[in-house]
Amino acid sequence: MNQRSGTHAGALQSELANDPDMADIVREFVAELPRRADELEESWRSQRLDQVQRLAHQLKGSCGGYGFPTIGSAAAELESTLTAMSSGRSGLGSDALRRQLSALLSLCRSASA
Amino acid sequence: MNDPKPVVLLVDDSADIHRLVRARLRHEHLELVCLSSGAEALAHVNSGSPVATILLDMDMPGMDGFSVLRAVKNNPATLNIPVIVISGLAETDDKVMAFDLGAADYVTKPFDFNELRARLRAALRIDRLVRMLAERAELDGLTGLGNRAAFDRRLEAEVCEHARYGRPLALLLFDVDHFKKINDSFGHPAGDSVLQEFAKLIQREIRASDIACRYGGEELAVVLPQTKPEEAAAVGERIRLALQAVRWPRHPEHSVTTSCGVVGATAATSHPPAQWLDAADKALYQAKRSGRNRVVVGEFAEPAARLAKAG
Repeated sequence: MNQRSGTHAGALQSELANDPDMADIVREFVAELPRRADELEESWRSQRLDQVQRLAHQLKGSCGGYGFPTIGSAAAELESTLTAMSSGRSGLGSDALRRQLSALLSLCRSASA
Repeated sequence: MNDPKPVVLLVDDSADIHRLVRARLRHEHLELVCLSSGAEALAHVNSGSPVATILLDMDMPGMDGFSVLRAVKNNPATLNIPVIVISGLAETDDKVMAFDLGAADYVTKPFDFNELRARLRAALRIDRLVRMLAERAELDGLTGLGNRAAFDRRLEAEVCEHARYGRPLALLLFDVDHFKKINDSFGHPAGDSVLQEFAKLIQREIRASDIACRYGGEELAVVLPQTKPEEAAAVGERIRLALQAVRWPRHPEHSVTTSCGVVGATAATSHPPAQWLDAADKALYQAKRSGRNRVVVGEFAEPAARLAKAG
């Protein structure tokens, strides 16, 4: 419904793209998302899981507010898996973790204002 | 009166949340100050600049929200500031802990902004009410000046400033001469209007930074920060002359006078507030004893050798 020329197929559009109070900061937020995805990926590669958890936590808190609830939920899932792991309650292996991370990364990279 | 915008503090380590909340509160009657850490938040509220409500994130690196909440609620100067906890932690235990620590409200992220705005307005209403009650609790009903509680608090604060930074400080203590006679001869309404007029006259003669209070029945006191004893004595003298010149509709043939005790220090002293009061009271007594309707500058009680000389 919000399709505009220039947004490629499968692009994830902010629910708030047409909100006049929000348009500017949503654009700014979207422009930052790929860098955050890179940062997440980089932290994952260097096995700094606390950093991954922190970044996931931040995305969980903010994405919904910028009109990307699906990214927010993906980040929430990843965060809760990491929290469970670090407290020794891990029910999920690193495969599941990797899946959740790559789901989150691709959502971040497909966002558009 | 022109209502200044209440200051709302947002404490959250995420700049995304700062921008989001700022955009969503754009149309509210408030001034939003965004801070990124618990330490910054405490520094801000402890600086004494007025804060009407705090929006506090729980999960921050370094000092977390619970520690900030605890510190705000443990400080008598800040404990009345309503704190709305904003958190991704939706567990009941966290909510219970936040409320037990003194949180006014709790909202979870991601926000429903209609709800956040409504809860924020409710917190601001409570803040306004608490402030109003606090002001009234320190007001003297008859004269509109500060009451004894206000005087004690302000004198203590100014004596502290004086002792710490060595700023000059002076204290004036007035007592209406023969006040009982006014009440007895012309009735209590006449006595009341003398006090009211005297209070107005004092406020006209002092600076906005000076603090006038009704200390007791017919005793009025003025704390004068950044004022040397001789300057304070001149203020006292102006007030004395002004009162004497008032023509009273209820008793035009009977003028009213006041005695005044002054005490002050130009350089830092370590006298506690009680000694300031004691010294001003002694000077006032001296003014009464030597004939009333005069200003007497007193001194702090000092070692016995000095006192003996005065006898």
